[in-house]
Amino acid sequence: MDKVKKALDPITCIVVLAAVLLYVLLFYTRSLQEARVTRATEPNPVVTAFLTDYLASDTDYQREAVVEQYFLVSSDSIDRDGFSETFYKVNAVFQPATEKPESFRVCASQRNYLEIMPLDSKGADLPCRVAIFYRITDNGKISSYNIARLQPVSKRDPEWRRNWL
Amino acid sequence: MIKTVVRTVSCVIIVVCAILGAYTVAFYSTDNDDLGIRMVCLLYEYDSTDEIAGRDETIASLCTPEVYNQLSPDNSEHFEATYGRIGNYETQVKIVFTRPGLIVYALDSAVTYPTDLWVFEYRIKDGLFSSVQEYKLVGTRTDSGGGLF
Repeated sequence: MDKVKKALDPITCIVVLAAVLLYVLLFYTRSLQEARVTRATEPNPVVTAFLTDYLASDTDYQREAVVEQYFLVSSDSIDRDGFSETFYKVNAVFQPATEKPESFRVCASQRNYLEIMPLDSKGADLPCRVAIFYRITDNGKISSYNIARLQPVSKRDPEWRRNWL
Repeated sequence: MIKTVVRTVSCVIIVVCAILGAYTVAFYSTDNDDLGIRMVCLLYEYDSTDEIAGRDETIASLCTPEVYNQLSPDNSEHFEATYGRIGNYETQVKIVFTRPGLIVYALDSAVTYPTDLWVFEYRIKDGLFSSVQEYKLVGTRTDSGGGLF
């Protein structure tokens, strides 16, 4: 007992405590770093509001109005029918002949990036996922963007769709 | 005697933890995207597909067994879906956009359109790729500068 007491002098206790703390800190640091590598961010409210309004629109003119509300649309890009280049690009992604999405769910969100799954009127998935890359101006307009469907590389992926070849 | 042993063991633990901690920080403190970029380049940047077999061990060391089975050249389905688009031609990976867990890239080879865009999504757990999803961006291409906007 005396030997144990002698072994546990203050310096030894401090050294042991330091070893334990460093051990714990090592794993905490590792988990923090791993979380940082794959950290998601909150979906941008401008983009989600645009998607909500766009998918709720019934006609192309309504969709064009929504596009002009949320995007910086150059008047030069509007054709004689009154539709902008942005409208056509977004329409091509969201309005295929076979399926009409009416809502969406967020699959992933990072700075300048949003990944969503379009949903039908019953809330069922309408693959493929949609990737939206964007930049927002200070006054809340989407100034630059890119939008596309995410077709899985593997045909065995349940989200792979022939109509998005 | 006991005091000496306890102090020695504790000091060894401190030194080992300090080294591992420094390694962990260094491993992850490079750009968040470096891990994904490194993997994409390991997989798809080469002079010929013969190089892929030689990288098998490196790829395996970076992945969980499930992900390795998915990405392995022995996975014929994955091989056809990915290397089938490139073929046995010198290929360079052009990184277009990165975020934590997301790499958007183009492939520059004799048989690919350099404006086609591909996505490599991943998660890392315990230092290994624990989940990988690969996509093609359909309906868009790079802009004239090779970027996304």
